Amino acid sequence: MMKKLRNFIFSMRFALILLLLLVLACVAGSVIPQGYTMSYYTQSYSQQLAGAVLLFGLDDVFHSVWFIVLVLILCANLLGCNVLRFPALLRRFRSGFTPEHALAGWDGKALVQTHEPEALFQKNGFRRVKTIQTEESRELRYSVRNRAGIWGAWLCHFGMLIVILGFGLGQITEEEYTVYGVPGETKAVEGTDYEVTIDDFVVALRDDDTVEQYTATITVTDTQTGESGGGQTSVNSPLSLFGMRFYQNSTGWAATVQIWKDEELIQEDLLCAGEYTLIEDIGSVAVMFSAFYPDYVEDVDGSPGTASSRLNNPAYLYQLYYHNEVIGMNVLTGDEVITLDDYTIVFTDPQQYTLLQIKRDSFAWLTAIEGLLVALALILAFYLRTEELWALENEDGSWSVGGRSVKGGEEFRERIRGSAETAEELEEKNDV
Amino acid sequence: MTSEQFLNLENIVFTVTMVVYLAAMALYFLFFALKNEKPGKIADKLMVVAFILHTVALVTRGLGAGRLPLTNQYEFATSFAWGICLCYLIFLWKYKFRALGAFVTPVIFLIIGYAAMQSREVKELMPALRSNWLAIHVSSAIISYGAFGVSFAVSLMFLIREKLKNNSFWETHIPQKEKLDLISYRAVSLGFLFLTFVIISGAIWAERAWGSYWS
Repeated sequence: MMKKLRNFIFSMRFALILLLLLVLACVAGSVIPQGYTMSYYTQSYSQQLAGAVLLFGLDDVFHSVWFIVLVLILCANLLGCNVLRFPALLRRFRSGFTPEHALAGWDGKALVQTHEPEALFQKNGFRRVKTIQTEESRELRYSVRNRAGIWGAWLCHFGMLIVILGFGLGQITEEEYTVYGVPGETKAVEGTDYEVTIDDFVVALRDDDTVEQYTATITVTDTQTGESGGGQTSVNSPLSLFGMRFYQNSTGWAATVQIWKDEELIQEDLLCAGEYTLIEDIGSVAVMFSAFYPDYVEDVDGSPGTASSRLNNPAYLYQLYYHNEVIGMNVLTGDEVITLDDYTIVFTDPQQYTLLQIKRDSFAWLTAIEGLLVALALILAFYLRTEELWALENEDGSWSVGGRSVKGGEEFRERIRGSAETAEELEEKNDV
Repeated sequence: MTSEQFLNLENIVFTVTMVVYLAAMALYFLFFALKNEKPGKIADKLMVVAFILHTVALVTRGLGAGRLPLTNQYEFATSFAWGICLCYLIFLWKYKFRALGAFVTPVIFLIIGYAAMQSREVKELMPALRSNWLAIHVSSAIISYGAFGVSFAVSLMFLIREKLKNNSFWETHIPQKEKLDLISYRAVSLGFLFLTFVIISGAIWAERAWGSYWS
C-alpha cells in the first residue's frame, strides 16, 4: 500500500495533476490583481466574488500557503522521480548497451539484409563497432551512439528542481531595499550598514523628447569600515558593489517647498511627488506635493497634463491638509504661491530624482546553472537519441541487420532501410 | 540610401510579399482540391520567393529603423510570419511534404495580415528595450512560434488524415498518421527547445532591467 502510494506520488501522472493545479493558480494570480483590499475587489467584481477571492487567498496567490505547499509537493515529486530513476539509468548508461543485451532483446527480424555492414554502420554515423562471437559461432557486430541522450529527460527534471530550489532559496535569503533621492543627497540603506550618495542623475532625452536612458552615478559607503565604491547604473546595466546590485528602477520629480512667514524663510524641505511635509510652526497643517507637470497644459476637460518632459512650463499640483482633512488643492504655475494666514508656501527648484532598487540574491548563480542544465537536457532529449545498430552474420555470408532507437522507432528503421539500399548501390557502383 | 528610403522600400516589398503569400496559398488550395501536382510545384517556388522577399523586407526595415525589427506589434507579427515560413521551408526540404503548404500558408497569411493592420511607425526604443537580450529573446521566440505554427498545421493534417480516401495522390503527398505524428513531434521539440531559450533569456533580461527574474 505504501509502495503504491509512493509510486503514485513520484509518478508522472501525479506531476501532471500538480502542474495543472499550478497552472490554474498562476492564471488566477495573473488575471486577478494581486495585493488589493476587499473594497477594491468588491468594486471590480461582485461582493460574493470578492469574498471568494479573499477566502481562497487569490489576492496574493504566489505567497499563499496552498501555493507554496503545491510547489513543495511538486519538488518532492521531482526529487523522488529523479532519485528513483537514477540508479537504473546509471546502470543502463554504464552497461545497458552491449551486444549481448541487443541480441537478447532481438526477436530476430532483420530490418534489412546487407553484404557490407561496415558501410551501413558508417553511413548512419555509428563509429565504434564491437565484434563478438555468438553462442552459435556467428559474428555479431554492434554499435551504439548518443548514449548520453538517455539522460535528457532526467536532467530536465533535475533542472526544473534546481529552478524551484534556487527561486525558493532566493526568496528566503534575498535582501531587497530601495533608496531614492536627488543629486547631492546621501541616504541610508535601511537595515544595512551602507549609505548611498547620489552624485548625479541624468535623464538623456532625444530630440523628440522621448527618454533615451536614465543614468545615476552613485557612491556606496560602508559606514562601519569606511570602505566605499561607486559607479554608474542605468536601465539594463545595473551596478554591482559589495555583493549587491543597484538597479536604476524608477524616477520622478522632486521640488523644494519653502515656508515663509513675514518674509522670513522658516522651513525648507525637499519633497518627491507624493510626499508631504508638516508646517512645523503650526503642526496641524500639512502640504502635499501631489504631482508635477514639467510642461503644463490643460486637457480638453480641464484636467492637468504635461506636453513634454522638458521644463518649459513647470507646474505643481498640491494639496493642503488640516488635521488630515483636505482644505485646499490646486495647480501652481509660474510665480504662483500658496497663501495661508501669515504663511506663504512656495514650490521651487524642480528636479528629477532617481529611485534605486538594491538587491542581494545569494542564489542567483543557481538560476544560471539551471538555464544551462535545462537547455542541455532538451538538446539531449530531443536531438541526441540513443540508437543501437547490429549486424549478425548469416551462413550465406550476408548479414541480418537489427537496431533500435529510444524514440522515433519507425523513422529509425526507415532510415536504416533507406541507407542500406544506398550503401548497396554504392558498393555496386564501386564494383562496376 | 536614407532611413526614409529604406522604410519606403520596406513598405513596397512587404506588400509584394503579402501578395506572393496569397498566391502561394491559392495554389496550394488548388493543389489540394484538384489533386494536381502543377499548382503545388509552383506554390513551392512561390514560397521560396516570398521568403526571400520577406527577408528583404525585414532587412530593409532594420536598416531604416537602425535596429533589429523586433520591438513592436507590427515588427513582431511580420517576423513571426517569417519564422513560420522558415520552419515550413525546412520541413518541406526535409520531408518533401508539399501538402503541408495548404495548411501552413493560411496561418502565415493571417499573421502577416494582422501585421499589415498595425502601425508601421518607427519609434525609438525606451530604455528597458535597449538591450542585447532583446535580440536573443525575440529571435528565439520567432523560431519557436514558427515551429509551433508548423506543428499546428501538421496536427490539423493528422486530424483529417483518416477522412481522406485512400488514393495514390494522398498516399504520395500526405504521410500516414504515424509519420505525421513524428513530424509534429519534431516541430514541437524544435519549438519547445527555442521556447526554453526564450524563457531563460527573458528572465535574464528582466533581471538586468527590473531587478527580478520574473515579475
